Amino acid sequence: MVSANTLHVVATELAIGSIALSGLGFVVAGVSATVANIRRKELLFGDQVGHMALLFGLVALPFAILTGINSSPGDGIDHPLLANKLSLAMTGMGLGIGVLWCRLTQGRTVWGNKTSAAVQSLAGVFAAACILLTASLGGTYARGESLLSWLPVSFDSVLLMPVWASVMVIVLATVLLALSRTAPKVPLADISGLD
Amino acid sequence: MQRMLIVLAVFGLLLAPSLGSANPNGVGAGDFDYQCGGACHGDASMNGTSTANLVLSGEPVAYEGLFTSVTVHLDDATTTASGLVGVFLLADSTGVNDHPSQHGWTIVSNSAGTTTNYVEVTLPQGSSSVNVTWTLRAPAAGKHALLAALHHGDGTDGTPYFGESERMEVSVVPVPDDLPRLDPAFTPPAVRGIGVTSAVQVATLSTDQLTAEWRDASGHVQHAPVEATSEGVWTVALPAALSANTLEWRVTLSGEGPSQTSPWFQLTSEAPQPDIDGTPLYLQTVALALLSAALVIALQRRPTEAAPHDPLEALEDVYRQEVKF
Repeated sequence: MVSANTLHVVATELAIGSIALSGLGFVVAGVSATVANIRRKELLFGDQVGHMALLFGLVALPFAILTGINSSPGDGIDHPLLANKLSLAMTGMGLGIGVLWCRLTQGRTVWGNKTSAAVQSLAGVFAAACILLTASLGGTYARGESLLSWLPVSFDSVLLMPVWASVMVIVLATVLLALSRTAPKVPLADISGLD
Repeated sequence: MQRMLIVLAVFGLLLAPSLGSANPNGVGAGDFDYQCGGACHGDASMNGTSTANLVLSGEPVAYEGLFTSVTVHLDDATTTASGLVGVFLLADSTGVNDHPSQHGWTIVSNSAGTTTNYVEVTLPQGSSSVNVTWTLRAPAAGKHALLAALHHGDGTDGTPYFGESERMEVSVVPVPDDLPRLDPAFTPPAVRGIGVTSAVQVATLSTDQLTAEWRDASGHVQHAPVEATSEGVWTVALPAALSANTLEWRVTLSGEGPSQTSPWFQLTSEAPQPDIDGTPLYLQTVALALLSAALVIALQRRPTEAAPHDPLEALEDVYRQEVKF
Protein backbone atom coordinates (compact mmCIF):
# COMPACT_ATOMS: atom_id res chain seq x y z
CA MET A 1 0.00 0.00 0.00
CA VAL A 2 1.23 3.47 -0.81
CA SER A 3 1.97 5.32 2.41
CA ALA A 4 0.68 8.78 3.24
CA ASN A 5 4.27 10.05 3.05
CA THR A 6 4.59 9.04 -0.59
CA LEU A 7 1.16 10.39 -1.49
CA HIS A 8 2.06 13.63 0.26
CA VAL A 9 5.23 13.98 -1.80
CA VAL A 10 3.30 13.31 -5.04
CA ALA A 11 0.46 15.71 -4.18
CA THR A 12 2.91 18.38 -3.01
CA GLU A 13 5.01 18.14 -6.15
CA LEU A 14 1.89 18.46 -8.31
CA ALA A 15 0.59 21.43 -6.34
CA ILE A 16 3.89 23.27 -5.96
CA GLY A 17 5.02 22.71 -9.53
CA SER A 18 1.76 24.03 -10.90
CA ILE A 19 1.61 26.98 -8.57
CA ALA A 20 5.22 27.98 -9.23
CA LEU A 21 4.38 27.96 -12.95
CA SER A 22 1.25 30.00 -12.32
CA GLY A 23 3.31 32.58 -10.40
CA LEU A 24 5.57 32.94 -13.42
CA GLY A 25 2.51 33.23 -15.66
CA PHE A 26 1.07 36.04 -13.57
CA VAL A 27 4.38 37.92 -13.63
CA VAL A 28 4.50 37.67 -17.42
CA ALA A 29 0.84 38.66 -17.76
CA GLY A 30 1.15 41.52 -15.28
CA VAL A 31 4.21 43.01 -16.97
CA SER A 32 2.71 42.52 -20.43
CA ALA A 33 -0.54 44.23 -19.46
CA THR A 34 0.95 47.19 -17.63
CA VAL A 35 3.78 48.23 -19.92
CA ALA A 36 3.16 51.23 -22.17
CA ASN A 37 2.36 49.14 -25.22
CA ILE A 38 0.52 45.99 -24.28
CA ARG A 39 2.38 42.92 -25.45
CA ARG A 40 -0.63 40.87 -26.42
CA LYS A 41 1.03 37.56 -27.23
CA GLU A 42 2.84 37.45 -23.88
CA LEU A 43 -0.32 38.55 -22.12
CA LEU A 44 -2.27 35.74 -23.76
CA PHE A 45 0.26 33.14 -22.67
CA GLY A 46 0.65 34.60 -19.18
CA ASP A 47 -3.10 34.79 -18.72
CA GLN A 48 -3.77 31.22 -19.79
CA VAL A 49 -0.75 29.60 -18.16
CA GLY A 50 -1.19 31.54 -14.92
CA HIS A 51 -4.88 30.76 -14.47
CA MET A 52 -4.82 27.15 -15.67
CA ALA A 53 -1.77 26.26 -13.59
CA LEU A 54 -3.30 27.97 -10.57
CA LEU A 55 -6.54 26.03 -11.06
CA PHE A 56 -4.67 22.73 -11.24
CA GLY A 57 -2.54 23.66 -8.23
CA LEU A 58 -5.60 24.53 -6.18
CA VAL A 59 -7.19 21.18 -7.05
CA ALA A 60 -4.05 19.34 -5.93
CA LEU A 61 -3.55 21.43 -2.80
CA PRO A 62 -6.30 19.87 -0.61
CA PHE A 63 -4.84 16.43 -1.31
CA ALA A 64 -1.41 17.72 -0.30
CA ILE A 65 -2.88 19.08 2.94
CA LEU A 66 -4.86 15.90 3.71
CA THR A 67 -1.94 13.56 3.07
CA GLY A 68 0.34 15.93 4.99
CA ILE A 69 -1.87 15.75 8.05
CA ASN A 70 -2.06 11.97 7.70
CA SER A 71 1.70 11.59 7.40
CA SER A 72 2.65 13.72 10.38
CA PRO A 73 3.03 11.99 13.74
CA GLY A 74 0.60 12.65 16.56
CA ASP A 75 -2.70 14.38 16.21
CA GLY A 76 -3.52 18.04 15.90
CA ILE A 77 -1.20 20.94 15.25
CA ASP A 78 1.45 21.02 17.93
CA HIS A 79 4.20 23.05 16.30
CA PRO A 80 4.31 26.74 15.34
CA LEU A 81 5.58 25.88 11.86
CA LEU A 82 2.53 23.69 11.23
CA ALA A 83 0.16 26.42 12.42
CA ASN A 84 1.86 28.97 10.17
CA LYS A 85 1.82 26.51 7.28
CA LEU A 86 -1.92 26.16 7.62
CA SER A 87 -2.48 29.92 7.79
CA LEU A 88 -0.27 30.59 4.77
CA ALA A 89 -1.80 27.79 2.71
CA MET A 90 -5.34 28.97 3.41
CA THR A 91 -4.43 32.59 2.63
CA GLY A 92 -2.89 31.44 -0.65
CA MET A 93 -5.94 29.35 -1.43
CA GLY A 94 -8.21 32.32 -0.72
CA LEU A 95 -6.21 34.61 -3.00
CA GLY A 96 -6.12 31.93 -5.69
CA ILE A 97 -9.85 31.33 -5.54
CA GLY A 98 -10.47 35.09 -5.73
CA VAL A 99 -8.20 35.41 -8.77
CA LEU A 100 -9.84 32.50 -10.56
CA TRP A 101 -13.35 33.69 -9.70
CA CYS A 102 -12.63 37.14 -11.16
CA ARG A 103 -11.16 35.62 -14.30
CA LEU A 104 -14.13 33.29 -14.75
CA THR A 105 -16.78 35.93 -14.15
CA GLN A 106 -15.14 38.90 -15.86
CA GLY A 107 -13.19 37.15 -18.58
CA ARG A 108 -10.18 38.84 -20.11
CA THR A 109 -11.46 42.26 -19.09
CA VAL A 110 -9.47 41.77 -15.86
CA TRP A 111 -6.51 42.82 -18.00
CA GLY A 112 -8.49 45.74 -19.47
CA ASN A 113 -6.81 48.55 -17.51
CA LYS A 114 -3.57 48.86 -15.63
CA THR A 115 -5.05 48.92 -12.13
CA SER A 116 -7.19 45.87 -12.72
CA ALA A 117 -4.30 44.06 -14.38
CA ALA A 118 -2.02 44.94 -11.49
CA VAL A 119 -4.56 43.62 -8.96
CA GLN A 120 -5.01 40.38 -10.90
CA SER A 121 -1.32 39.71 -11.43
CA LEU A 122 -0.23 40.78 -7.93
CA ALA A 123 -2.96 38.66 -6.31
CA GLY A 124 -1.87 35.70 -8.43
CA VAL A 125 1.79 36.22 -7.55
CA PHE A 126 0.99 36.58 -3.84
CA ALA A 127 -1.14 33.42 -3.95
CA ALA A 128 1.79 31.54 -5.47
CA ALA A 129 4.23 33.09 -2.99
CA CYS A 130 2.09 32.10 0.00
CA ILE A 131 1.87 28.49 -1.16
CA LEU A 132 5.56 28.26 -2.06
CA LEU A 133 6.38 29.62 1.37
CA THR A 134 4.08 26.98 2.84
CA ALA A 135 6.07 24.28 1.06
CA SER A 136 9.28 25.86 2.28
CA LEU A 137 8.03 25.67 5.85
CA GLY A 138 7.32 21.98 5.27
CA GLY A 139 10.97 21.52 4.39
CA THR A 140 12.02 23.42 7.50
CA TYR A 141 9.74 21.26 9.64
CA ALA A 142 10.84 17.93 8.16
CA ARG A 143 14.52 18.57 7.50
CA GLY A 144 15.38 21.69 9.45
CA GLU A 145 16.27 23.64 6.32
CA SER A 146 14.73 24.87 3.09
CA LEU A 147 15.59 26.98 0.07
CA LEU A 148 13.86 29.98 1.63
CA SER A 149 15.58 29.72 5.03
CA TRP A 150 17.47 32.91 4.21
CA LEU A 151 14.30 35.00 4.35
CA PRO A 152 14.44 37.38 7.33
CA VAL A 153 11.10 36.13 8.63
CA SER A 154 10.66 33.88 11.63
CA PHE A 155 7.81 31.41 11.76
CA ASP A 156 8.68 30.11 15.22
CA SER A 157 5.78 32.01 16.79
CA VAL A 158 2.10 31.95 15.93
CA LEU A 159 -0.07 35.03 15.57
CA LEU A 160 -3.46 33.84 16.74
CA MET A 161 -6.50 36.09 16.69
CA PRO A 162 -9.17 35.64 19.36
CA VAL A 163 -12.27 33.79 18.22
CA TRP A 164 -14.40 36.95 18.17
CA ALA A 165 -11.92 38.68 15.85
CA SER A 166 -11.93 35.73 13.45
CA VAL A 167 -15.73 35.73 13.44
CA MET A 168 -15.72 39.46 12.68
CA VAL A 169 -13.30 38.93 9.78
CA ILE A 170 -15.52 36.16 8.41
CA VAL A 171 -18.56 38.44 8.65
CA LEU A 172 -16.65 41.29 6.97
CA ALA A 173 -15.48 38.99 4.18
CA THR A 174 -19.00 37.65 3.67
CA VAL A 175 -20.40 41.19 3.45
CA LEU A 176 -17.68 42.13 0.96
CA LEU A 177 -18.49 39.08 -1.14
CA ALA A 178 -22.22 39.80 -1.01
CA LEU A 179 -21.70 43.43 -2.03
CA SER A 180 -19.36 42.39 -4.82
CA ARG A 181 -21.95 39.94 -6.11
CA THR A 182 -24.77 42.47 -6.12
CA ALA A 183 -22.69 45.25 -7.65
CA PRO A 184 -21.48 44.15 -11.07
CA LYS A 185 -18.53 46.00 -12.46
CA VAL A 186 -19.68 49.08 -14.34
CA PRO A 187 -17.88 52.19 -15.57
CA LEU A 188 -17.86 55.20 -13.25
CA ALA A 189 -19.61 57.16 -15.96
CA ASP A 190 -22.67 54.93 -15.67
CA ILE A 191 -22.76 55.31 -11.89
CA SER A 192 -22.54 59.08 -12.11
CA GLY A 193 -25.45 59.03 -14.54
CA LEU A 194 -27.75 57.59 -11.88
CA ASP A 195 -28.05 60.81 -9.98
CA MET B 1 -19.95 19.79 -13.74
CA GLN B 2 -20.80 16.09 -13.73
CA ARG B 3 -17.32 15.25 -15.04
CA MET B 4 -15.77 17.34 -12.31
CA LEU B 5 -17.76 15.44 -9.68
CA ILE B 6 -16.63 12.12 -11.14
CA VAL B 7 -12.98 13.23 -11.12
CA LEU B 8 -13.28 14.42 -7.52
CA ALA B 9 -14.97 11.15 -6.50
CA VAL B 10 -12.16 9.13 -8.13
CA PHE B 11 -9.54 11.24 -6.34
CA GLY B 12 -11.38 10.71 -3.08
CA LEU B 13 -11.56 6.96 -3.57
CA LEU B 14 -7.85 6.84 -4.41
CA LEU B 15 -7.07 8.61 -1.18
CA ALA B 16 -9.50 6.63 0.95
CA PRO B 17 -7.26 3.57 1.58
CA SER B 18 -4.43 5.78 2.81
CA LEU B 19 -6.64 7.98 4.94
CA GLY B 20 -8.26 4.94 6.47
CA SER B 21 -5.05 3.12 7.20
CA ALA B 22 -4.84 4.04 10.87
CA ASN B 23 -1.64 5.88 11.68
CA PRO B 24 1.21 4.72 9.45
CA ASN B 25 3.36 7.45 10.96
CA GLY B 26 2.47 6.74 14.53
CA VAL B 27 0.23 8.43 17.03
CA GLY B 28 2.91 10.10 19.11
CA ALA B 29 3.92 9.26 22.66
CA GLY B 30 1.11 8.66 25.11
CA ASP B 31 -0.30 6.56 27.91
CA PHE B 32 -1.91 3.44 26.48
CA ASP B 33 -3.02 -0.03 27.46
CA TYR B 34 -1.78 -3.13 25.68
CA GLN B 35 -2.30 -2.87 21.88
CA CYS B 36 -3.94 0.52 22.32
CA GLY B 37 -7.20 -1.11 23.41
CA GLY B 38 -8.66 -1.97 19.99
CA ALA B 39 -6.13 -0.53 17.55
CA CYS B 40 -5.42 -2.30 14.26
CA HIS B 41 -2.37 -3.94 15.88
CA GLY B 42 -4.72 -5.61 18.34
CA ASP B 43 -7.27 -6.74 15.76
CA ALA B 44 -6.82 -10.48 15.28
CA SER B 45 -8.42 -10.33 11.85
CA MET B 46 -5.70 -8.17 10.39
CA ASN B 47 -2.64 -8.09 12.65
CA GLY B 48 0.53 -10.15 12.53
CA THR B 49 3.09 -11.26 15.09
CA SER B 50 6.36 -9.36 14.89
CA THR B 51 9.54 -11.33 14.34
CA ALA B 52 11.52 -8.79 16.35
CA ASN B 53 13.23 -9.83 19.59
CA LEU B 54 12.06 -7.80 22.52
CA VAL B 55 13.89 -8.11 25.82
CA LEU B 56 13.07 -6.24 29.01
CA SER B 57 15.89 -6.01 31.53
CA GLY B 58 16.47 -4.27 34.83
CA GLU B 59 17.32 -4.81 38.48
CA PRO B 60 15.37 -7.78 39.87
CA VAL B 61 15.16 -6.10 43.28
CA ALA B 62 13.96 -2.56 43.97
CA TYR B 63 13.35 -0.60 47.14
CA GLU B 64 9.83 0.49 47.96
CA GLY B 65 9.23 4.09 46.78
CA LEU B 66 12.73 4.44 45.36
CA PHE B 67 13.90 4.66 41.79
CA THR B 68 14.76 1.81 39.49
CA SER B 69 15.18 1.63 35.76
CA VAL B 70 14.27 -0.90 33.11
CA THR B 71 15.53 -1.08 29.54
CA VAL B 72 13.69 -2.46 26.54
CA HIS B 73 16.09 -3.86 23.98
CA LEU B 74 14.61 -4.31 20.52
CA ASP B 75 16.50 -6.37 17.97
CA ASP B 76 15.94 -7.79 14.47
CA ALA B 77 13.07 -5.42 13.81
CA THR B 78 11.77 -5.20 10.24
CA THR B 79 9.59 -2.15 10.09
CA THR B 80 8.60 0.51 7.57
CA ALA B 81 11.07 2.54 5.53
CA SER B 82 10.92 5.31 8.11
CA GLY B 83 12.08 2.87 10.82
CA LEU B 84 9.27 3.85 13.16
CA VAL B 85 8.53 1.52 16.07
CA GLY B 86 6.13 2.03 18.96
CA VAL B 87 7.34 0.61 22.29
CA PHE B 88 5.17 0.05 25.38
CA LEU B 89 6.12 -0.52 28.98
CA LEU B 90 3.25 -2.39 30.64
CA ALA B 91 2.37 -4.12 33.87
CA ASP B 92 -0.15 -6.48 32.29
CA SER B 93 -1.39 -7.55 28.85
CA THR B 94 -5.14 -7.81 29.26
CA GLY B 95 -5.86 -4.64 27.30
CA VAL B 96 -7.45 -2.98 30.34
CA ASN B 97 -5.60 -1.29 33.21
CA ASP B 98 -2.23 -2.34 31.82
CA HIS B 99 -0.47 0.94 32.51
CA PRO B 100 2.31 0.60 35.11
CA SER B 101 0.79 3.46 37.10
CA GLN B 102 -2.33 1.33 37.61
CA HIS B 103 -0.12 -1.22 39.35
CA GLY B 104 1.64 1.18 41.69
CA TRP B 105 4.58 2.22 39.54
CA THR B 106 5.31 5.84 38.73
CA ILE B 107 7.05 6.68 35.47
CA VAL B 108 9.60 9.38 36.19
CA SER B 109 11.21 9.68 32.78
CA ASN B 110 12.24 7.73 29.72
CA SER B 111 14.94 7.98 27.11
CA ALA B 112 12.47 9.40 24.59
CA GLY B 113 12.05 12.45 26.79
CA THR B 114 8.51 11.82 28.01
CA THR B 115 6.86 10.41 31.10
CA THR B 116 4.53 8.16 29.13
CA ASN B 117 4.44 4.35 28.92
CA TYR B 118 4.29 4.40 25.11
CA VAL B 119 6.96 6.04 22.99
CA GLU B 120 7.80 6.02 19.32
CA VAL B 121 11.40 5.59 18.34
CA THR B 122 13.09 5.47 14.97
CA LEU B 123 15.60 2.76 14.22
CA PRO B 124 18.96 4.27 13.30
CA GLN B 125 19.76 4.08 9.58
CA GLY B 126 21.09 0.63 8.73
CA SER B 127 20.30 -0.78 12.14
CA SER B 128 17.54 -3.08 13.34
CA SER B 129 18.00 -2.58 17.07
CA VAL B 130 17.28 0.14 19.56
CA ASN B 131 17.06 0.58 23.34
CA VAL B 132 14.44 2.48 25.31
CA THR B 133 14.97 3.08 29.03
CA TRP B 134 12.32 3.95 31.60
CA THR B 135 13.05 5.23 35.09
CA LEU B 136 10.35 4.27 37.56
CA ARG B 137 9.49 4.77 41.20
CA ALA B 138 8.84 1.36 42.72
CA PRO B 139 5.42 0.47 44.15
CA ALA B 140 4.66 -1.07 47.56
CA ALA B 141 6.66 -4.08 48.72
CA GLY B 142 5.86 -7.34 46.98
CA LYS B 143 6.28 -9.09 43.64
CA HIS B 144 5.47 -6.96 40.63
CA ALA B 145 5.55 -7.78 36.93
CA LEU B 146 6.58 -5.62 34.02
CA LEU B 147 6.63 -6.40 30.33
CA ALA B 148 7.33 -4.59 27.08
CA ALA B 149 5.34 -4.63 23.85
CA LEU B 150 5.79 -3.13 20.43
CA HIS B 151 3.81 -2.05 17.38
CA HIS B 152 5.11 -1.53 13.89
CA GLY B 153 4.33 -1.98 10.21
CA ASP B 154 6.58 -3.39 7.53
CA GLY B 155 5.79 -1.10 4.63
CA THR B 156 4.80 -3.87 2.19
CA ASP B 157 1.40 -5.42 2.80
CA GLY B 158 0.11 -2.96 5.37
CA THR B 159 -0.10 -5.56 8.12
CA PRO B 160 -0.03 -4.02 11.61
CA TYR B 161 2.45 -6.05 13.64
CA PHE B 162 2.65 -6.47 17.39
CA GLY B 163 4.98 -8.24 19.78
CA GLU B 164 5.67 -8.57 23.47
CA SER B 165 8.55 -9.51 25.73
CA GLU B 166 8.79 -12.07 28.51
CA ARG B 167 7.46 -10.81 31.81
CA MET B 168 10.07 -9.53 34.25
CA GLU B 169 9.44 -10.07 37.96
CA VAL B 170 10.64 -7.30 40.24
CA SER B 171 10.82 -7.92 43.96
CA VAL B 172 10.12 -4.70 45.76
CA VAL B 173 11.45 -4.79 49.31
CA PRO B 174 11.09 -2.37 52.22
CA VAL B 175 13.79 0.24 52.62
CA PRO B 176 16.31 -0.44 55.46
CA ASP B 177 16.43 2.39 57.99
CA ASP B 178 20.03 3.41 57.41
CA LEU B 179 20.05 3.01 53.66
CA PRO B 180 21.41 6.14 51.97
CA ARG B 181 18.64 7.03 49.58
CA LEU B 182 16.84 9.72 47.71
CA ASP B 183 13.96 11.35 49.54
CA PRO B 184 10.68 9.71 48.40
CA ALA B 185 9.39 13.21 47.69
CA PHE B 186 12.21 13.91 45.24
CA THR B 187 11.22 13.81 41.57
CA PRO B 188 13.96 14.38 39.02
CA PRO B 189 13.15 16.88 36.27
CA ALA B 190 12.39 15.23 32.92
CA VAL B 191 12.40 18.22 30.56
CA ARG B 192 14.25 21.52 30.40
CA GLY B 193 14.88 24.29 27.88
CA ILE B 194 17.79 24.54 25.49
CA GLY B 195 20.77 26.57 26.71
CA VAL B 196 19.74 26.30 30.34
CA THR B 197 22.21 25.08 32.96
CA SER B 198 20.32 22.89 35.39
CA ALA B 199 20.90 23.11 39.13
CA VAL B 200 18.94 20.12 40.39
CA GLN B 201 18.04 20.12 44.08
CA VAL B 202 18.43 16.54 45.29
CA ALA B 203 16.85 15.70 48.65
CA THR B 204 18.31 12.65 50.40
CA LEU B 205 17.88 10.59 53.57
CA SER B 206 20.62 8.93 55.67
CA THR B 207 23.24 10.29 53.28
CA ASP B 208 26.59 11.76 54.31
CA GLN B 209 28.10 12.20 50.89
CA LEU B 210 26.75 12.48 47.37
CA THR B 211 28.53 12.39 44.03
CA ALA B 212 26.98 12.83 40.61
CA GLU B 213 27.85 12.04 37.04
CA TRP B 214 26.26 12.58 33.66
CA ARG B 215 26.57 11.26 30.14
CA ASP B 216 25.34 12.25 26.71
CA ALA B 217 24.47 10.17 23.65
CA SER B 218 28.13 9.29 23.12
CA GLY B 219 28.05 7.40 26.43
CA HIS B 220 31.10 9.23 27.81
CA VAL B 221 30.56 9.64 31.57
CA GLN B 222 31.65 12.89 33.23
CA HIS B 223 31.64 14.12 36.80
CA ALA B 224 29.01 16.70 37.77
CA PRO B 225 29.75 19.31 40.46
CA VAL B 226 27.78 18.80 43.67
CA GLU B 227 27.27 21.30 46.47
CA ALA B 228 25.68 20.63 49.86
CA THR B 229 22.86 23.14 50.14
CA SER B 230 21.47 22.21 53.55
CA GLU B 231 20.98 19.15 55.74
CA GLY B 232 20.27 16.28 53.35
CA VAL B 233 19.83 18.56 50.32
CA TRP B 234 22.38 18.76 47.53
CA THR B 235 22.63 20.81 44.38
CA VAL B 236 23.80 18.98 41.27
CA ALA B 237 24.92 21.20 38.38
CA LEU B 238 24.26 19.75 34.95
CA PRO B 239 25.64 21.41 31.80
CA ALA B 240 23.39 23.24 29.36
CA ALA B 241 22.39 21.60 26.10
CA LEU B 242 23.10 23.52 22.90
CA SER B 243 20.47 21.61 20.92
CA ALA B 244 17.54 19.29 21.50
CA ASN B 245 18.93 16.12 23.08
CA THR B 246 18.69 13.86 26.10
CA LEU B 247 21.25 13.91 28.88
CA GLU B 248 21.36 11.19 31.53
CA TRP B 249 22.59 11.69 35.07
CA ARG B 250 22.76 9.72 38.29
CA VAL B 251 23.96 10.09 41.85
CA THR B 252 25.85 7.85 44.23
CA LEU B 253 24.86 8.15 47.87
CA SER B 254 27.10 7.17 50.77
CA GLY B 255 26.32 6.92 54.46
CA GLU B 256 26.29 4.46 57.33
CA GLY B 257 24.45 1.86 55.30
CA PRO B 258 25.62 0.38 52.00
CA SER B 259 26.27 2.93 49.25
CA GLN B 260 23.58 3.24 46.63
CA THR B 261 23.73 4.35 43.03
CA SER B 262 20.54 5.67 41.51
CA PRO B 263 19.41 4.65 38.04
CA TRP B 264 20.19 6.97 35.15
CA PHE B 265 17.68 9.80 35.06
CA GLN B 266 16.83 11.13 31.62
CA LEU B 267 16.72 14.89 31.19
CA THR B 268 15.52 16.01 27.77
CA SER B 269 16.28 19.45 26.40
CA GLU B 270 13.78 20.85 23.96
CA ALA B 271 12.59 24.19 22.72
CA PRO B 272 9.41 25.27 24.49
CA GLN B 273 6.37 24.38 22.41
CA PRO B 274 3.40 26.71 22.44
CA ASP B 275 0.07 25.29 23.42
CA ILE B 276 -1.87 25.84 20.20
CA ASP B 277 -5.62 25.68 20.51
CA GLY B 278 -7.07 24.09 17.37
CA THR B 279 -10.46 25.81 17.15
CA PRO B 280 -9.26 29.47 17.07
CA LEU B 281 -6.53 28.47 14.62
CA TYR B 282 -8.91 26.72 12.22
CA LEU B 283 -11.37 29.60 12.49
CA GLN B 284 -8.58 32.09 11.78
CA THR B 285 -7.42 30.20 8.70
CA VAL B 286 -10.98 30.11 7.33
CA ALA B 287 -11.25 33.84 8.04
CA LEU B 288 -7.95 34.54 6.26
CA ALA B 289 -8.99 32.49 3.22
CA LEU B 290 -12.39 34.19 2.98
CA LEU B 291 -10.92 37.67 3.47
CA SER B 292 -8.22 37.10 0.84
CA ALA B 293 -10.75 35.91 -1.71
CA ALA B 294 -13.19 38.71 -0.84
CA LEU B 295 -10.53 41.41 -1.13
CA VAL B 296 -9.46 40.29 -4.60
CA ILE B 297 -13.05 39.99 -5.82
CA ALA B 298 -14.05 43.33 -4.29
CA LEU B 299 -11.05 45.10 -5.80
CA GLN B 300 -11.83 43.71 -9.23
CA ARG B 301 -15.49 44.65 -8.88
CA ARG B 302 -14.82 48.27 -8.00
CA PRO B 303 -16.19 51.00 -10.25
CA THR B 304 -13.78 51.88 -13.06
CA GLU B 305 -13.07 55.00 -15.05
CA ALA B 306 -13.75 53.37 -18.39
CA ALA B 307 -15.90 50.59 -19.78
CA PRO B 308 -14.33 47.15 -19.36
CA HIS B 309 -12.65 45.93 -22.46
CA ASP B 310 -10.78 42.87 -23.62
CA PRO B 311 -7.20 43.82 -24.49
CA LEU B 312 -6.79 40.57 -26.39
CA GLU B 313 -9.80 41.06 -28.59
CA ALA B 314 -7.76 42.40 -31.45
CA LEU B 315 -5.19 39.68 -31.23
CA GLU B 316 -5.30 37.98 -34.58
CA ASP B 317 -2.55 35.45 -34.71
CA VAL B 318 -2.14 31.75 -34.63
CA TYR B 319 -2.20 31.58 -30.82
CA ARG B 320 -5.62 33.16 -30.65
CA GLN B 321 -7.09 30.57 -32.96
CA GLU B 322 -5.42 27.59 -31.40
CA VAL B 323 -5.77 28.39 -27.73
CA LYS B 324 -9.05 29.44 -26.25
CA PHE B 325 -9.80 29.94 -22.57
